[in-house]
Amino acid sequence: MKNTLRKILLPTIFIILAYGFWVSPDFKEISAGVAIFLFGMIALEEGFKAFTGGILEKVLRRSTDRMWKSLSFGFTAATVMQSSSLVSVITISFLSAGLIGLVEGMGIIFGANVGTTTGAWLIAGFGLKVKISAYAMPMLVFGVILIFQKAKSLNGIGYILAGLGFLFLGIHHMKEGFEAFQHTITLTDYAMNGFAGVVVFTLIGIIATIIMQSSHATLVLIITALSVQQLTYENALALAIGANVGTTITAVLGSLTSNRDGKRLALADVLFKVAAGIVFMVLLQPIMGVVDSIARVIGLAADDYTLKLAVFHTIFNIAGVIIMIPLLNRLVAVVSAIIPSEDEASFASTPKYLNASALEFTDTAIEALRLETDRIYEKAIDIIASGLSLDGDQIFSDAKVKQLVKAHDKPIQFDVDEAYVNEIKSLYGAILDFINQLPGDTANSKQLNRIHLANQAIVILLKDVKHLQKNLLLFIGSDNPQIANEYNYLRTRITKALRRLEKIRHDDDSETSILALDALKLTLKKNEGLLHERMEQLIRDSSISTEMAISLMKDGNYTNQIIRQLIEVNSNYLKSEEQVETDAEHLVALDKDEIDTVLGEKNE
Amino acid sequence: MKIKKLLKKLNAHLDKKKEQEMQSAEGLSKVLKKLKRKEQKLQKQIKNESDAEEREFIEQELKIVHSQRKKGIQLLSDLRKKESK
Repeated sequence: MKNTLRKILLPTIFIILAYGFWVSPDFKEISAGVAIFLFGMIALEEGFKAFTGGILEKVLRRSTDRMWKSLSFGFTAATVMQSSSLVSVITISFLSAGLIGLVEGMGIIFGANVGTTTGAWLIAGFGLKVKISAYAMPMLVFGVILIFQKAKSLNGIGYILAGLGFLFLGIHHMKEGFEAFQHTITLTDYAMNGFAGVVVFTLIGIIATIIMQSSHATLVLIITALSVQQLTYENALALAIGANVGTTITAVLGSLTSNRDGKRLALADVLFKVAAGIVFMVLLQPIMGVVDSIARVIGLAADDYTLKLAVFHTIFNIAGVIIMIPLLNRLVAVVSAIIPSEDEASFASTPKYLNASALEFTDTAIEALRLETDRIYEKAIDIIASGLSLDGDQIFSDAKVKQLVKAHDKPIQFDVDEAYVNEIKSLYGAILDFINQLPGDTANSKQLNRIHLANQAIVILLKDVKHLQKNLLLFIGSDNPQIANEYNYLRTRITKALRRLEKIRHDDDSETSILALDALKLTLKKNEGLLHERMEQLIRDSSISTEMAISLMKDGNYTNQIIRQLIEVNSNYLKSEEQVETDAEHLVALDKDEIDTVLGEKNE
Repeated sequence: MKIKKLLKKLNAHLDKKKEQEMQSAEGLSKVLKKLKRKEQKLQKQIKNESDAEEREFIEQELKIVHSQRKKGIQLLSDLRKKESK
């Protein structure tokens, strides 16, 4: 049924439109205006996407730590981009990727709702009074020339200029169409008064916005129709309420592929807009009085209905935000109750951050991959701890490593392979699939490759843990204290390395975390040399048998390999504030020979 | 001087390879500044450290930072030479 409906919907729309074009050339001009306007929005979105590389994440972190900052960020973003829908989609994508929390996301979206009202002011105050198409032409020409440029930033500016050009051109055609239209048909004949009119026109506003997926396009239509008296003022206000409610469709569609938080955010947006919509529908008459008073205060003429509509649109969104902010925590509780969290254990081996919504922007996709890699790493640490007969919860405790190892001197049977299959394998597969879905341009391919290498290193080191575990279980409880000591020493080395890595990972003061790993590489190199000396001494003293010595030699190498891979994971996982710095750190990081040289200098 | 720098940036924007080289140089110089700060911090720590073992550990770290800086400076000067050509 659903499929049949979908199949006939598009041809039906085409036929209706074609008939309309045949009957009325003015309708054709208005529709072309809407189409050009929407095309402009698409170009504008494309342009802003070019600027999401790296900078966006940095700005976000700094601008969403307080509610007022989240609101201002949303307001500014929507004002600059002139699209609250784009801001909603980006926000849901950020939320899905774990870049921001639900409350911050709500702040951004509420801010964006207010920001988008600037569009109505621009169109009503500037778009209708100035010959807007005069600006469109040069913008289109400059924009298209820039689109052909190779540099990403110029390309982005090109799309933004062309997008704005198309927006202006679209508005121009809608205006022309409506102006010509008024000579043939008077739409105001269909005007409806009273509450029934409010309900009907609100519904029309909702439907029009859902179809065009842009409240901006609906508002332009309303304002242009209002400017040539093809709509009554009251019906226009009802349409504006509908546009505000209908615009949530983009957030809803964007959230379909996102995680639970993304869905919660979309639901919060819907609840916010529907609640505000109902209040404004019921209180339309008194609110019209408020609009009139404000219009008088700011010096608008009594019959300047287009700017009054802008005032109304602004009041709608600002009032909504003012009412909602104190109720934010309650709103979070409501949406969390409607969309509850899944039991953490039930999706232990399913990806938490990798979803289609995070794929929307390369930045969020990479961040989602990093967060998922972090999850795998944490699971791997637990497996390493259990594989070494230690307790994963105590590995990072304040207890001295030697004491910790001593306290766990009984071998504990643990199946590393099984843990790998249950906890890691499917996540690793999901990461590889996700990477394959991303476009591999050079700037991203470097980052994606590092994430891939980090995960690969985790898999390799778990195999080494499995090999090491075999003899470790045999010898840590051995009657021969010498060999037990040696195996405890191997456990100590891995635990110490894990602790040092953990410190580097969470050291906020460290400005060069990738380079901080070089100190670990040096310790590893030093210990590699010491292993041989210790072995020779033990054999000379006949403290251990030749078989034990062979096992120890082999397992010493496994230990070195595990630590090397742990460094490798972190070297590929860690990053600086900016991509250029991360790349520079990788260039400066010392290689094997250079570490040898530093070690040689030390021993001289 | 400022106009010259701006022109250089604009030129780099128009040339993809040059833009990459310029970004590399920018990244390197930022990292070098951070390393210099780290070096000074470690030197101060060594002076104040009374525990011999800990001091040796910091000295080792200082040597690494020093080598990293040396490597970074060399890389940056190579890049700058390439840029001026």
